[in-house]
Amino acid sequence: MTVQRSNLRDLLPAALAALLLAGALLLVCTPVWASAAPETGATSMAGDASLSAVEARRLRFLFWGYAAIWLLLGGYIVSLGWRLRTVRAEIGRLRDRLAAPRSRDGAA
Amino acid sequence: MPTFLRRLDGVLTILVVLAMFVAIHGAFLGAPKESAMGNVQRLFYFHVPFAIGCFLGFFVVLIGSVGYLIRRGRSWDLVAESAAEIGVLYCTIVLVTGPIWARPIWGTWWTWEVRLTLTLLLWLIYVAYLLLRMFVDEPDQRARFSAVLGILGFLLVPFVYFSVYLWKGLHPSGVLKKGNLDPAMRQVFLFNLWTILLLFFVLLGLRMQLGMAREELDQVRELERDR
Repeated sequence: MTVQRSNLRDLLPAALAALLLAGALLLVCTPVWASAAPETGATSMAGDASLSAVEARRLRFLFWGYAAIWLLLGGYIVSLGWRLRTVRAEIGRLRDRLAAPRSRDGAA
Repeated sequence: MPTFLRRLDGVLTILVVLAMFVAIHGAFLGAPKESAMGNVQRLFYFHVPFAIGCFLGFFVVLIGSVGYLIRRGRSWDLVAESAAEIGVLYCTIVLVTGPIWARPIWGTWWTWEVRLTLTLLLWLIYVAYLLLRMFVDEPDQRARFSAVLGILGFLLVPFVYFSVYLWKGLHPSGVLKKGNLDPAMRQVFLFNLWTILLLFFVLLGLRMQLGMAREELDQVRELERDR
């Protein structure tokens, strides 16, 4: 089984950057976006004009929830990219050694 | 990997990044604020899709494991191994976001209700699956042992899913049934679900590339030893 040097590898950093950018944007905008959204249902926990203390506390949990998602997802993608790069570098190094002519005493 | 598949991988990667932006927009602006739980309910649009994605991951482990035991092909084992890793990632996200959502709503980070306990057990089984793969050196033995664990582990998935119907707990039941969810919320939820499932396949493709690269590395190492 051989590995093709696919264009996906080149896409990985861009995809990661976009995901992390989305995450960062989300973390910054969470309170603003969430408070701007329309409400459903008959009752409201938040006041009409300002966020109640309860709602402000819930927004903090929302913030940390999404932060956890992006950290775990981003961390995994980074680790995947790092592992792929390490293995490919090792393959390249070994292939170079195999291709190099051996010296008389047996060392490459 | 054939050129067609490589192109498909690239297209899927771009698609999933774009879909993720729309999913975030939907979760925060598209969906209305839930009246009882307030804004923290917006975790639902990622928490539940990741939970379904984790079931899909463990289902793919089951397929790969059964495939390996029948065909003894290395690629089946590679599919199972890759899916298990992503399934564990998804399950971790569920186990982390769940308590963050539960704290302001249930008043506690964790409770030993059936669904939570079974989900934790499921996570532990597949973490054990990954550890087993790390500690068995012989490839055939590793694939065989982990295939058995992968199949047995999946037996827990239906119990996790149906636990809210079988045993009374804090988790609500039937939320996803038609009519139980506001149409706008349902639309956002379904879009996010497909996005998270698409992300699963993109990550699966990347993880399988890593597995194939490791196999190539083993082959090159053997060539170097034989030299």
